[in-house]
Amino acid sequence: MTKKSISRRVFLEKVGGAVAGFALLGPWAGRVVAAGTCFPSGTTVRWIVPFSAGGGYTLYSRILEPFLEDAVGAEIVVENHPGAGGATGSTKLFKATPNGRTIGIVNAGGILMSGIAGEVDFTIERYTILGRVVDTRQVICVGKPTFDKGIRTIEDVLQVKEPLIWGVTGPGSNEFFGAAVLSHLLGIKRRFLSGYPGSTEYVLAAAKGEIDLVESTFSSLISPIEAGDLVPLALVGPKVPEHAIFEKKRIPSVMEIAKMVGANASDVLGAAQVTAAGRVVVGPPGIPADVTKCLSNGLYEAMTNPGLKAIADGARRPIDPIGAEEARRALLEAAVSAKKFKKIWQQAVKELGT
Amino acid sequence: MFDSFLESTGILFLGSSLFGPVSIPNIAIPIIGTLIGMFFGILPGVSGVTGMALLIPFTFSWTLIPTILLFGSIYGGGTYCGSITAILINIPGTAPNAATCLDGYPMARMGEAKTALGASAAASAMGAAFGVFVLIAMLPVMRATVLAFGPAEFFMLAVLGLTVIAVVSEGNLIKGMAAGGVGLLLAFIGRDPVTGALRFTFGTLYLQDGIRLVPLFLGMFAVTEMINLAASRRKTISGREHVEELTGSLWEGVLSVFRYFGLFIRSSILGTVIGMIPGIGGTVASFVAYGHAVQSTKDNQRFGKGDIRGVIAPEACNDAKDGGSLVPVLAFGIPGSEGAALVLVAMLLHGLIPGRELMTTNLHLAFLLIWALFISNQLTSIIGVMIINQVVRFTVIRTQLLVPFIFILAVVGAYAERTAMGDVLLTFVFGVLGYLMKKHAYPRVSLVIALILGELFEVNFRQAMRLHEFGRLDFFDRPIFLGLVLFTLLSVVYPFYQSLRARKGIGVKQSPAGKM
Repeated sequence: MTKKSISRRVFLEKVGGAVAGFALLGPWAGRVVAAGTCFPSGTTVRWIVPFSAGGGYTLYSRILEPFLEDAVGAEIVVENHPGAGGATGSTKLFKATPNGRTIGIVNAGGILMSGIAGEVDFTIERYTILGRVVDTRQVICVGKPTFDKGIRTIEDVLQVKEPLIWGVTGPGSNEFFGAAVLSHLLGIKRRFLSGYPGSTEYVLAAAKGEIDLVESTFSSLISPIEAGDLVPLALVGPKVPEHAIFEKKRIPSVMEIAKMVGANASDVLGAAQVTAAGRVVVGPPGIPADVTKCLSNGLYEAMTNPGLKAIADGARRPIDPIGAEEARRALLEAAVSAKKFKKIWQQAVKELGT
Repeated sequence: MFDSFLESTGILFLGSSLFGPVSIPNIAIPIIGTLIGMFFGILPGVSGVTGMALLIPFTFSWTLIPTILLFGSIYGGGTYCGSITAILINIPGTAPNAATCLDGYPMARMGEAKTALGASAAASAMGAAFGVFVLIAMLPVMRATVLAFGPAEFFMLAVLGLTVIAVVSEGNLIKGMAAGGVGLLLAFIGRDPVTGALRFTFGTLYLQDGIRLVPLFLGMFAVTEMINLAASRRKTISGREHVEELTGSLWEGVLSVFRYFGLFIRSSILGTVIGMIPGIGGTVASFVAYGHAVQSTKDNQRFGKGDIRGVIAPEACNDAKDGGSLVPVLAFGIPGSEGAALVLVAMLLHGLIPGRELMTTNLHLAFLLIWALFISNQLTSIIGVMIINQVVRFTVIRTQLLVPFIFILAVVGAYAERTAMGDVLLTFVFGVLGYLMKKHAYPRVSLVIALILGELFEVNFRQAMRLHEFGRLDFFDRPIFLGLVLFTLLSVVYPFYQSLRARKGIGVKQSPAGKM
C-alpha cells in the first residue's frame, strides 16, 4: 500500500504515533519490521477493528500488533471503524479487496446474531478465517444482594417461584442469545431488563440489586467477582477458566445442569458454542490460498508467542488461540446452532418490548 | 490515606523511571503526557482517546508508575484545548466543549476573545482542582455514591437537562419546543436501545447508530456560523482587522471566575457529580451546567449573545468532571467515559486491578493517577494563557481566508472520528439546517440539548418503569430521585415566576432564543 492511498486518519495516526514514540523513547520506538515473509518488504496491512478505540477488541489488537508484524513481515496499521454494533466495520472487512492486505478482528457471535436477525447479508463462515484469538466463553453470575437473599446456587435459580431479572444489553449481543436460549432449554424462570450500554452497566445494576442475573465473558466479570459484587453460578461451556475462584469452589457447567434437569445436553452445548464463538481474525472472502496460509501461520505464531501471553495475562485478557482450520470448524458448528435456536431467540426478543 | 498521599508525592517529585538506558524524572512524564493530550484535544474529531490508544503498544515494557502518570495526564490534557477552538472559531474540539460555543464564540465576535479564553483557562484550572479535591474527599465513600444512582435518577437528570429548553426559549416558547421536538425525534433514529428494533434507518447501516454528536456539533456550530459569516459579509470574526483593536483582557476573564464564584462552585459540583455516574458523559454535564447558569441568574438576557457566565459554567463543569469520572474507575473498574476506559485499560495492562485492592493496598497508585490528572489540568490552562495573544489572531483573520479553512477543518474533523463519509455529509446537512434555524429564530441549542439527552431520557424511563413493574423500584423510597424532582420543578417554575414579575415591573423581556 503506497502512502497516497493511506487515509487521512491513518496519516494522523502515524504522525501522532511517531511523535509520541520519539518523545517517550519507548523501547518500541523506531522498531524495525523484519524482512517480509508473507509480503514484499515495506508492505502495510490494514487491521480493521469494528469497535471504538476504548474497548477490548482494540486492546487485543494493540497487544497483538507488534508480534504479528514480526511474524508476517509487514507493518500492521490498526483502524477503528465502529458503528452499528460492529456491523459497519465487519461489512467493510467483508467487502475489502481480497489480497491479504486488509484483515481484522471480529465478534463472531455478533455476526451470527446479525445474520439471524437479517441485518447483514453475509455470514461468518464466508469470511477467510485466519484464526481465533480467544473464545468468548461466558459465565452466569448472580448479584451479591440477590445472593444474600438466598439465591446462592444454580439449584436455587431453578427452584424460584418468581422470575428472576436478567440484565442484558440488547438482542444483538452474545450474552442475550445465551441467556434467552439457555434459560429456555434449562427451564429458568426469568424476565429480561434490556438497554444497558455494556456489561459494566449491568454488572453495576446487579451489584445494586436492581437485577439478579448477568452473563458475560469471564474476563469482563473477573474484577466484580473478585470484589464480591458477583457470585458465579454456572459456566457456559465445558472449559473451566484458569482462576483461583474455580479451584476453590466447583461451578457446574450448563451441560451438567442440562443433565440435572433432563434437558438435551447437546442442544445446550450448541447454544454455548454460539456465545463462545469468540474474537476471530478474518479477511474478506477470496484471499489467495498461499497468502491465507502465510497469514494464518503468522497469526498463530504471534498468538502463541510467550511474550504476548505474558502481556495478555498481565492485562487479564486471556489468549486462547486456535488455528484457521479449527476455528473454521468451530464457527460452522456455531452457525448451525444459531439457526437452530433462531425461533427461541426471536420469542425472547419479543418479550423485551412487552 | 495521608501516608499513601505522601508516598505518591515522593514518587512523583523525587522518583524517576527507566526507559531503556535513559532515566527520566517522573515529574517530566505528566508534562509530556499533557502536551500529547493537548495535541490530540485541539484537533476536531480526534481526542485524547486516540492518543492513548496509539500509545498502548509503546508502554508494554514500561513499569506501572510511568504508565499511570502518562495516561492520567493525557486524559486531563485534552479537555481544555477543545475550548480554545470552541471560543475562537465555534468548533468544539471535543463534544463536551460544545456548550462553551454558545457564549464563547459570541464573545469572540464582539472582540472579547481574550476575556473568554481567560475565563475558560481559569474556570478549567479551578474546576479541575475542585474535581480532584472532591475525588480525594470521596475516596472513602465513592462506592456508595456510585451505587446510589440508578435509572430513576438518570431519568430525572435527563429531565432536568431538558428543562433548559424552556429557559433558553423564553419569549418564543413555541419555536423552542418545536426545535426541542425535532431534537428528540432525531434522537430516536437508530436502534431502539431496549428492543433492538431499527427506527428511521431507511435500511442503511450508517443510521443504525443514530445521529452522531461530532457531525451534529461541527454542523450546527462551525458550518452554520461560517455560512452566517460568509453571508453577513463581515470582514473578520470579531469585526476588527487588527489584534490591537480587540477589547477585553486575559485578566478580566480570570477575575470574572471570582466575581461569579457561586456559579463556578455550583457548576463544579454538577460536573463532579455527573462525572461520577457512568453513562451520563461530559457532553450532558456541560449542557446541564450551562442550563443551570441560565436558570439560576436573574439577568439572563445576554446568554447566547456573549455572557461570560455562559463560558464559566460549562468550562468549570467540564474539567471538574474529569476528577469525578475517575470515581467509578477506581472504585469498580467501570469507566465513566471513553477516556477513563483507556486509563483503565492502561492500568489493567500493567496488572493494576481497580476496586478494593487499589483503594486499600495500592492507594498510593490511585493518588499518583490523581496527581497526573491535576498537573495536566493546571498545565493546560497555564499553556493556554501563555498562547492567548497568538491564538486570538484567529478572530482578525479575513473571512475569505478563514471560512474555507474552517470548512476544511470541519470535513477533516467529521471524517476523522469514524472515517465515514456519511458523517461529512451529515455535518453539512446540519450546517444548512442550523443556518435556516438561526435565520428564522428557532433556537439551535434546544435541538442540540434534546438530541443529546433523548436516549438517556428514553432508556432510563423505560428501565425505571420496568423495574417498578417488577417490584424492584419504589420511587418514593429514593431520596436522590425525589430531590431531583424537586430541583427540576423549581428550575422550571422559577424562571416563569421571574418572567411574570418582570412583565408586571418593566415590560416583556427580550428573548435570547433566536440568537442561539
